[in-house]
Amino acid sequence: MFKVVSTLFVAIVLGLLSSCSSRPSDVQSVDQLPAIYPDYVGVTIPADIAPLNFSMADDDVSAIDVEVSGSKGGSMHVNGRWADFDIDEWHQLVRQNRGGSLSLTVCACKNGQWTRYRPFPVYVSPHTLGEWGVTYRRIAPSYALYSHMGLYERCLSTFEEKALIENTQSPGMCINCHTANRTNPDQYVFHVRGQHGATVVHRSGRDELLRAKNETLGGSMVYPYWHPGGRYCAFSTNATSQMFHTAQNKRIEVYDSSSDVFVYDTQSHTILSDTLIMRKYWAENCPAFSPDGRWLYFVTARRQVYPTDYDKECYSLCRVSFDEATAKLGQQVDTLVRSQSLAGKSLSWPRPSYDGRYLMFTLADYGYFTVWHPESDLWLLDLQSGESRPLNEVNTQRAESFHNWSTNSRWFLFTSRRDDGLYTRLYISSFDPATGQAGKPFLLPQRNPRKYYRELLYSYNTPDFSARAIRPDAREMGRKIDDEHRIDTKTLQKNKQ
Amino acid sequence: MANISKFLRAHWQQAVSVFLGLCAFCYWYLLCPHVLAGREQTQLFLWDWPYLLSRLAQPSGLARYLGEFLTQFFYLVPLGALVVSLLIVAVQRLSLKLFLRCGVSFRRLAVLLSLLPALLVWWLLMQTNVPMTLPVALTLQLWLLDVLSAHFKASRIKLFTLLISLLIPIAYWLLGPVAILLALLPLFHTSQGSLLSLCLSLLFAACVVGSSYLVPYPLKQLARGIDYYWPDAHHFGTTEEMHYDLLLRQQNWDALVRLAKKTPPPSRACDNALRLALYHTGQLPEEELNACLVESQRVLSSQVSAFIMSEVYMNMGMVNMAQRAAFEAMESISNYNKSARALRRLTETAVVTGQNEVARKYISILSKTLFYRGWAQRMLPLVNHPEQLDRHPYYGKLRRMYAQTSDVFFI
Repeated sequence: MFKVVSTLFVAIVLGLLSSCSSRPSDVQSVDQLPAIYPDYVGVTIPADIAPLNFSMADDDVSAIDVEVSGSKGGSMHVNGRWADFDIDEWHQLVRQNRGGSLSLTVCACKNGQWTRYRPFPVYVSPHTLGEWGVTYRRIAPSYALYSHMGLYERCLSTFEEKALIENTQSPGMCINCHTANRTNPDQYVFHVRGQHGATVVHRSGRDELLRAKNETLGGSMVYPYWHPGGRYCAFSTNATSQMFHTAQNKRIEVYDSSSDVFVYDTQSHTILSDTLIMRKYWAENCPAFSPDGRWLYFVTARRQVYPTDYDKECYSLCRVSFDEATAKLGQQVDTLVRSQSLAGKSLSWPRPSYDGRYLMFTLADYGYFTVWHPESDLWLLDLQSGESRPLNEVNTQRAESFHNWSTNSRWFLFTSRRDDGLYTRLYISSFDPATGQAGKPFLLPQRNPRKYYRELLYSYNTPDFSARAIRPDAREMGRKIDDEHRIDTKTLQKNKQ
Repeated sequence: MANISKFLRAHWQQAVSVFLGLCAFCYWYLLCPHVLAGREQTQLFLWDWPYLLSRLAQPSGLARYLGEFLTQFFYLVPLGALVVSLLIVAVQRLSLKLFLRCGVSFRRLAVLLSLLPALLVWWLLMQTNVPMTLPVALTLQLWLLDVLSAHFKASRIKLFTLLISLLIPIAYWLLGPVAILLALLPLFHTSQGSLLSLCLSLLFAACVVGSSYLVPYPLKQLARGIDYYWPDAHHFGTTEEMHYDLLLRQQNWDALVRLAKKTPPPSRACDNALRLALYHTGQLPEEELNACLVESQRVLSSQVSAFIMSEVYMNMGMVNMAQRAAFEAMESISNYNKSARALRRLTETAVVTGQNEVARKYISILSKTLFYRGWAQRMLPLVNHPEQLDRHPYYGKLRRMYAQTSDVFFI
């Protein structure tokens, strides 16, 4: 009996000793890149980004040791369950190597054996982000019902996140489409749906809560995009419905039985409707102004019969001129990219870069609600040459959807379901306007990304950059939303057909 | 017999408590097991620090955390009945001590009075729109009042006033608006009680108003207590639906058919559950079972209905529809909790439809629960080795059905 117990005791002690000590020893080198999560191998980052903390993708790895050295000097070292870089040390190293690169050497311990992998680069762009952070909505990837959701702002230099407003502030409300004017938080709009519905317009230091629906319009203001001048904002109005798949590893198809685009005058609270962009048998959607404000981009498709012809609603990209001084649209709509020219696929979410050179859009087999389309990809239109191409350096086999540019047009962000096919995550990518090439995108950094993203049961939605922190008074906003006071909008009709 | 009678007379107060507990246990175990099961599926209690911290970050946080801690045991109905009956007895015993300390000298009257708070908690637990937060908060508050009353001395009134002043904001943050009872304590112990209680009540009100600047909840909800009750209870479902749901989960088809004879199906979902039971007992042909697929939107009329339909659809091999029903059930929970039961179903549908990374995510989360951990760990090999799925007697069959299912739309 004593022999059995002592053998067991020795075995337990040896077992404990053979588990990884925190520093690498008896390291075996392999000539392969480490499989890390998030995949930051070869990404290009701005100098002011938060630390790219990461874990090994293999859950059985018990410890990781990372040496980081800069091509222009400096180094740092971390060791632990995951690579958790000190924020200040990280910023110092990355700023020192702006325009150069970092080399990361990873050792990982699994079953008591340390393995050293081939070093991988992280490139530090010479161009800053030019933005303080990002804003987004977080909501579960649900069907018809929704639980907790909120609009949030996140500093990109740190891991700090703050709620702009959450739907606990006014129970039962749905909030969406937070859109700033060229990332400037002094001017933004977002929607509230539910019992106390409203469209909230923040401008000139004041909040205006517009009545959610306009009787003449027949619906609510939906997808917004600000005119750079700040007085006007384009919206779509959509009668949206959902259908649900029984198979094909798809879940939902979101479609509009009708949709139109219009321009809203924030000064006079007037909806400027024009039949040129509100045609009877056509669905206009996803408006966006050009950076000089002279053009209004949108997508349009001939309306189909649902559900039988659900896969025939394919949008083309159009634009019409807009005169800010008179608030008038031009006489003619130009078609920039026809659906037929892209194998009959459907374009949506046009987003011109702020330097006016490019326009990014999403392409899917049909429809416009691309987050539920695994085949949806980001495409880039060169506005000078008129050529479109898929952003193959960014796209995956899963849905890449909603995107926005930084104001210096050197970076863009987008939502992607590449992680698991369901929960949308926020990625940032560098962009070179001279070549029109994007860098490998990187996932929004978190302090412990493996734990955070694995346990997060919410998706990132409608993200955008933000030039500064917004720091709203959520309590006061909740009070205003609960208040019954709303501003009515007028409609000014222009008939061209 | 005489000895027993003598014993009971000597310990009659304890006998009252034991009798109360036994009655509560029998009631919840024999008559209302479905209500316990219905409560359990409205939460996802995780055994990790972030979950605890997320609860403590809001008023009523400790009460809510402990309430959810206890509710997880409702997964096993006998254990749930025991937990509930112990809670009711605890309220009764604490109330008795409190009444005696507050000057009710006639012991039999005190015992009788002590049954009132216990019966109040019993009644609260029967209300499907009252989660465990409020009963737990009341229990803890009673305990705190009892401790303070035990040490209250009129000669040390200033010290106790200071102590209560310090305790009110702490108790409010941890337990919620029941903390106002602390403000009423001086009424029973000193002649200056009215003025003191008024001042302490104002302090309590200031705490409530102050908390509205710290947490994203409107003032009126903070005043009535976060998670004390759910105003939109009609979304939850009726106790009759819960009864159908429990029998459906247990696949107790005969009992379900018998229940329907006594309590006709109160909703379309329950009607579909009955159809399934009749099919399994050979009383309904298979072709008539397809009527369950009609009006898939209207049939999800409540959270419990959605859980029922998830079971029905899964039983019929309609995996996408089962997935949707489970997701809707989870997203309809009034206090925005997630649901372990729903996540379990969503893990299954993710495995069958090949969404392995999603399944792995849910398994990772369920591995932090007490009662779903084992099941989650048993599912992991299927996720890590999808080729084993085809050999699985249940999921393999579902996968083959799914592969042959035509893609049509349902609304």
